[in-house]
Amino acid sequence: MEIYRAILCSYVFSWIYILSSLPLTLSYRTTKVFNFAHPIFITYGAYVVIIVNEVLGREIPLAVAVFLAFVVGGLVSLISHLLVFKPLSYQRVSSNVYMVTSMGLWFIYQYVLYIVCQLLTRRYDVNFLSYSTIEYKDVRFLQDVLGLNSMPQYTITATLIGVSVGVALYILFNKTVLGLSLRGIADNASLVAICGVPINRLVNLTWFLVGGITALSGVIWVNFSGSTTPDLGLNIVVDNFAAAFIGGLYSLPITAVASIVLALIENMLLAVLNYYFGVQPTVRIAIVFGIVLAILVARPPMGAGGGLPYRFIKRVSRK
Amino acid sequence: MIDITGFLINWLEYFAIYAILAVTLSLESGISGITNFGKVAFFGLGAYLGAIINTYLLLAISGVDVVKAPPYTAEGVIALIEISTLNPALVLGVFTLSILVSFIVTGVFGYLLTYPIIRVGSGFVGFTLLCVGEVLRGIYVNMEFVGGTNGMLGIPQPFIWLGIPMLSGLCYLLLSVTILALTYIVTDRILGSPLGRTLRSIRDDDIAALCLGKDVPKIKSKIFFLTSGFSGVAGTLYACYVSSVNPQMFVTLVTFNVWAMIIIGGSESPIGAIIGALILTLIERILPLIASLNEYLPFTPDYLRPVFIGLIMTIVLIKYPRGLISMKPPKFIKSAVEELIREAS
Amino acid sequence: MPPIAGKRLLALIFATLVIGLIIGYSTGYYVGGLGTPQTGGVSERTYTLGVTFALSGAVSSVCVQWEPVVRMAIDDLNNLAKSMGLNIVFKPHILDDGGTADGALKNVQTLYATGVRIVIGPALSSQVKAVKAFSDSNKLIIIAPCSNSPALAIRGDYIFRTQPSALGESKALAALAVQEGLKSVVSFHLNDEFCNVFAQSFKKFFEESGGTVLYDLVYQSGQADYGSDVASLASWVAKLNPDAVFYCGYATDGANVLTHAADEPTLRGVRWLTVEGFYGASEVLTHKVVDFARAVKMIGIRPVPITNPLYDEFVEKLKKYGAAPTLCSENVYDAVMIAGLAVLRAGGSSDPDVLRRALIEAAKTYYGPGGWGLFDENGDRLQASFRLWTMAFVNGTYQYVDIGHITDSNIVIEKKL
Repeated sequence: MEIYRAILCSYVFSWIYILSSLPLTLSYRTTKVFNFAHPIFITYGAYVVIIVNEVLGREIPLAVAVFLAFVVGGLVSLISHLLVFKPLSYQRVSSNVYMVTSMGLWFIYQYVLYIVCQLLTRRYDVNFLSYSTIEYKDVRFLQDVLGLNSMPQYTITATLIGVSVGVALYILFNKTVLGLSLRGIADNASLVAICGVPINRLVNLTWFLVGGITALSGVIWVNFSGSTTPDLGLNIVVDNFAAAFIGGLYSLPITAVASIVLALIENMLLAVLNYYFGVQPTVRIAIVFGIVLAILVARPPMGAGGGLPYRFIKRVSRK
Repeated sequence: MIDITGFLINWLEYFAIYAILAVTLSLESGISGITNFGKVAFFGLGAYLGAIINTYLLLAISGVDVVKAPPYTAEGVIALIEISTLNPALVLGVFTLSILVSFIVTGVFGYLLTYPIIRVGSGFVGFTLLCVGEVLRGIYVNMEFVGGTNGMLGIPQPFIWLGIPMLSGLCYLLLSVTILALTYIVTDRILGSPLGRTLRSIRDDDIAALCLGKDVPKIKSKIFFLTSGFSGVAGTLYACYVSSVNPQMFVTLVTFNVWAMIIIGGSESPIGAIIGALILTLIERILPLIASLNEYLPFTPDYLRPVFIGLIMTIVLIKYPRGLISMKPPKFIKSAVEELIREAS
Repeated sequence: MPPIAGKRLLALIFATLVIGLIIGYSTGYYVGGLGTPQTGGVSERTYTLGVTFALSGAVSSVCVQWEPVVRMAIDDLNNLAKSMGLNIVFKPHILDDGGTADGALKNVQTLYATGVRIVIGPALSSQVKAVKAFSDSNKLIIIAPCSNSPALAIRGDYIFRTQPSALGESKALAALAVQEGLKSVVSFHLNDEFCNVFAQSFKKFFEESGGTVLYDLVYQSGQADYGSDVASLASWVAKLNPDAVFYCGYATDGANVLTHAADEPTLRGVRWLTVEGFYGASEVLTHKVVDFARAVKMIGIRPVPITNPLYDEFVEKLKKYGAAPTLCSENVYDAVMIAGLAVLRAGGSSDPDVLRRALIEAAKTYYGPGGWGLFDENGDRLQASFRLWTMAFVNGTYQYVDIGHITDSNIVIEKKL
């Protein structure tokens, strides 16, 4: 069995899911907003790189792509918060209202992107609605220097971005006062406010970080996949949510593990099932969601979104 | 000339089907606290059951060999078209059966599903049900019996034999509206009963309700049986209306559309759900007019349609987070309506 | 002031909406010129042709390229009408259905309500199926430019298709495979009606000609990436050692699949045969993929007659509208032209039966970029000759190039791969 590509896909998808699911959990923990428009940040991250790459001529460096995607993703996220989620939070709305409003935001962002792509397609005579791959010239330089030319570029891109973000988040949340305050808001916002921490500013910062980090998945995506469309976020939205839900919308380590497990199921497991048991890849949806369902039922998450799980009912009623 | 009657029939047909889903979702989510992100699972199951019964059974009773001419082939479709125009009693009988079977099977499916699903805790029930919808869609894609990814075609609309499209459409609309009214009455009765109060208490604090001796899982299961059953019926109505089904019709986006309806209208009341369904289905129909701006815009004008829908959803919810049902109308409209109602009564 | 009761609010909203609906549509009717036919000026009549394409969603990359084609065809129709001294102006009313069955049905119903009697589209067979019942019962003519489902080959209905049947094309491709000395094939295609039909009919004809389809690997649409499916394909190719891979996919998934396949040494070691699914897609034309196409001597087939100067003229003219030919774009042009000619032949009549008869007659004498317009008894276009194509680096750019043709009895490859 030619397992090499399946391993590579699993690896890259793991990073893509981690970089998009962790911020989703982070935003829920901090703000209690379940943002359905979250995967649009991936799409915007990918598209800002594509647009700049085409407008400025080919061969954008990874460093520039990361900076632009982070800023644009962060700004889109921050604007969503300031214009929509913040006014809603003043009215103490239910989580369902946040959810449906974020769906409305999603429609707006998605189709504004369609309009932008169409205008750019006409202006630059390049199909922005379905775009091929981008190679980062600084990563190629790094490959040349380190003698890693036999490795696909996207594995190096994914590793660089993933590890950097991981280290940065670790330092932020464990070694800085700012990070500790952010964690504090997630656990008990009122208490943190009493301590004199400017909650509003920190919540704004959280939204910016959430959008920015998620957009970095898009930077990996355009280097990895042969096609990027405005529907990119839509196509991976449910996988994203699956990872976050398995992590209970609370635990960052479990969310990360769930991202890796999902990537392995979608790539390795399906390839193995196909090769050894003749199962067609068309069963992907059924298998992936069947497993997610089984995980959720067998090991119900105890995180932020759960009430008293009814697995305790028998014990309660017996007593 | 613009065909207002035809437009209204087509729009209201969609509205009736979606309103059934919205009313049941408001009973589940807005009133009973079961966050159902898997609405499309029951809708799709009902549609597929309706499609299977109204094609396979109809062909089999009429003596067509369904192995040689299954309903997803041209031969099967041609046979179905002939049967549906020539044998009204049979078509109506099989359709009635399909409605009953859809109600019972999707209802039982919902009932049985509650027990494993409820284990995951109220915050996660929604996503777990969403997974159920996706698993079912994955199954339809791989079932050759229902046409796989190609789906099924030729599902007869039960009044097609009338021969006049407007008349058959009107009859089907009346039937759909009757089922919507039935759904509404059942929901309304539940709300006004002690069960309704129990449901609200469960929604507000299920642990407190549990501690007060209410058998929360059992009550939720009963409600889920009823709402799933009606959703299945909506699915069958939809399948017969469109005359075809395929797995791509039952994606998660359908669920979110229904959610948008109940949240915009007001999730805690079936009337709010109906208002939401009415508004969103109408907006979808009206907005294609934007496309007439073709000559003036440098991009596809129809892209503005979802942008407007998104804007309406966002603005309405920021202004009225409890839904339009909480809207305070301008004084002059309120007094005019009250005047009208007074006169009418 | 307390909130008003829900039932009253419902009544109020309902009444407002219905009044708004009537006002809105009346405004739209006069402002947008949606009615058909409509009298404007002294004696000029406007005839609106409805169009519903997947301008967003999974196949939007292909369908957005059809929009300029529609405008070009409408301009040509108007020039034709003018040259004939007819006071009729054609207008398109283009709607986006997102590639969904539900969207297509809603659009078709809306178009019908505004008076449209001929609709071009929808794109996918699943969508055509969803609009079929409405089309038949209301006698609304649908001309689908890219549907090839055999389940829709139904005599006497109101569905017409300008995409020729996949059977002839698959038979020709099977004959080509045999001529090229290919004895065994692994089939790899999208789980979509368009590609399923091609894969099944290719298998049938190839095996009838003595070849073998060793394995049929099907991948599901709607995913973000298909890398793991390509990995599975590589595994089967390594295990079964076929002479070629038969591939069918569209633009977006095609670009993804071929980009991943280009990295697989196993997949570079076999020939690749394909159909017109991703023909014309610019996102496929990267250095990596074109190099891969050269390495695997990729040959594609598409249902365009070889000796047709109208097609070359169509391609040139389309450039002025900022587009290039893609999957079915010539069929879109022909669909609009046949629809317009039918309207002219019917004298602008809105009677569906008159229009239907006029359409069939107009198609009999129509010859466009896609060849003869003639429909068979099921309303499907007849086609017997095909072009062969590949991707190459020509005149400093990556391009799709025609390399040969297939007619009834001849397979000619003019350019060396």
